[in-house]
Amino acid sequence: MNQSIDRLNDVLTTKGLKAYYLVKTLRGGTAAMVHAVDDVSITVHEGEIMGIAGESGCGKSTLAKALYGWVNPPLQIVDGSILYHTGNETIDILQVDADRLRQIWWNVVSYIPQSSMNVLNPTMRIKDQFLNVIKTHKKDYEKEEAEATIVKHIDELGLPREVTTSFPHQLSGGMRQRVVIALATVLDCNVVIADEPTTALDVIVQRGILQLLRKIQRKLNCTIVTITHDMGVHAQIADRVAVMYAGKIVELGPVQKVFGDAQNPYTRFLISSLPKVGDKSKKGSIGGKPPSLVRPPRGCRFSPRCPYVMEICRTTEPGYEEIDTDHFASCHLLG
Amino acid sequence: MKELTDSAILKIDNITKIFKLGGLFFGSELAAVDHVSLDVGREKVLSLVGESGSGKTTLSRIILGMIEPTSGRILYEDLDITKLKGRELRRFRKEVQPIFQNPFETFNPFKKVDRYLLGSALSFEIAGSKSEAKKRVSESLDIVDLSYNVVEDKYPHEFSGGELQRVSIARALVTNPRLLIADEPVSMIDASTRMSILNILMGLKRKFDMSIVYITHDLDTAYYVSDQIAVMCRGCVVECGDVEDVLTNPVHPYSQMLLKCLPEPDPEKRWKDQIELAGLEVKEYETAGCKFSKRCPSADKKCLENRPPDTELESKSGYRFVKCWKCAREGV
Repeated sequence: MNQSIDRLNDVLTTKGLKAYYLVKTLRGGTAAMVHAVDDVSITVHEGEIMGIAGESGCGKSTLAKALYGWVNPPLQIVDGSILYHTGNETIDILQVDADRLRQIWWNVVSYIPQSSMNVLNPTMRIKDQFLNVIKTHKKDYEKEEAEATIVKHIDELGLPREVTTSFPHQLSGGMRQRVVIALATVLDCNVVIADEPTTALDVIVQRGILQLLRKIQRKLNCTIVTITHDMGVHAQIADRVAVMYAGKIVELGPVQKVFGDAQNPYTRFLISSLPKVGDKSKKGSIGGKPPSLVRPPRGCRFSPRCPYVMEICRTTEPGYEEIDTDHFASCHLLG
Repeated sequence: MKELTDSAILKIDNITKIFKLGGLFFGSELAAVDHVSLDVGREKVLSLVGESGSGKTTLSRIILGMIEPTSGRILYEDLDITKLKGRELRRFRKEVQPIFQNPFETFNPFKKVDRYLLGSALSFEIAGSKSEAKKRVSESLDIVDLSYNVVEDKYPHEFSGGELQRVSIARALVTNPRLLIADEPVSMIDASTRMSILNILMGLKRKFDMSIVYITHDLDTAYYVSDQIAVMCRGCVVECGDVEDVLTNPVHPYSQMLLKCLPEPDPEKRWKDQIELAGLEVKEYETAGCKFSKRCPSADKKCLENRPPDTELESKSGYRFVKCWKCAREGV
């Protein structure tokens, strides 16, 4: 996607990113590739909240891992680049060595993994886990200074100070999630990648967490990439939304346009299938299931399930159309 | 509490469950379910909603007979389930079936799923032989849009979450139950397949006259599937009645807050105000007054000290009550 946005305002760009899982089948040993992220080019602007939507197995978590530079076998980056623009420096996170990566993590980019309320070490007090992070990722580490940073950060995010002296099991799930978010942002990073930050939490805690993310974004003036299948969450906090299907971005644009004027049939389905209080009309699911990413369908990947499928959809992959400023979609219906 | 319907399949009669807390809170007690009375109407879907830690799952486990209540009775077809023995207990287990939240935890990963299905048919004497059992299993898989050859000889990890949840519904249906207890059946399921599971549940009520207790924190899906709804807060039912009445015109401040926290899929309708998150759950459980009083915007001294009574409200479509001092004093 060619975006005519001034490069200076971009904080993160990916170009033609292909992240595949190399799976060896047991019999015969022939290698199979899972095309989890297939030719994804996105640009994230400074200071925005970018939402990535899509159902499970569409590659959104793989994209998150790749953006974080956390690429371990069987995951492989086959092609493409991921560039972070900080200050007057441009870092290709896929090309740096392990030492440099440790400095980039937490200082430039931070990651909140899925079901992150279970990532805390159960045998350490919260404060020690914070200290651990600071020690690992800051070169000029001083204990007193670090402790002051922690208290200041906890206060700023509105968490009770008692959490620092607690063990994880003494905190509720929602509180642990907030602690992990605080932990991820303690070193004032430029970009936070949050993978399903509110899944498995109830609506009230979910709202509290989203409130917290917004607050962090405003206070630290950082950029947040949130990944969730819940379109309601994107509508509430995202500035721009990218919709992923079977490893590809099918629609990308400002949140008002994606929700108000969705162009791709898959996006429209994702939004219209949500039940709502006050609406008793029957809602359905799209028939079929997401395609196998080992052998993705030819042409448009949504074509086997699309209600508006045409002959061309099954043979030719659609390109991106610019519908409006900064609003892109890929579908043959637009051509 | 009066009856919601003329004929209830399940009556929850003043149930209380007290858990003892050890360790840090040595000697303290926590009423996870606090004097709850509810009726599940025949061929109706009752939703139990509330945030996590509101006692929904404990209540569902008491209904299933997995936890013994501290006091109170559960009457299934006028039989007290805690006193069931022998034939009657088998009948209860056959007719009341659970569906759990995470299908990957429902099934043993080392056991093929068809063994669960056939096992249910054989051990409840639905079928006398393996071929009869297969027939019964195929019938119930048919209801959830799966076929026998799809599940035959397969382990749980070979299914997607949505498919496996449908298998777990089919497993529950093998015994031809009258009442299903579905504890968060779609919260682990992807948005795109969630609706098909809910549609299956609604079809069961319509086609097979089943009653369902649907437990969730998601008011949107509760509104979609249910006839009646009970809103739980820290062990108490604070508002209860017809789903249309309660969700389109909630009276209790807690129900109102739950509704306000739904993320509306419309960027034009973003939350404007901020909410206060609950502090320590245990403190709210231990309060002598209304369990929501610590977070309630309109709470006064009385709310903090005394438990409000149930106030009955006018309702076109049946029974409705709310547990709030404000309503008790002023009426609504």
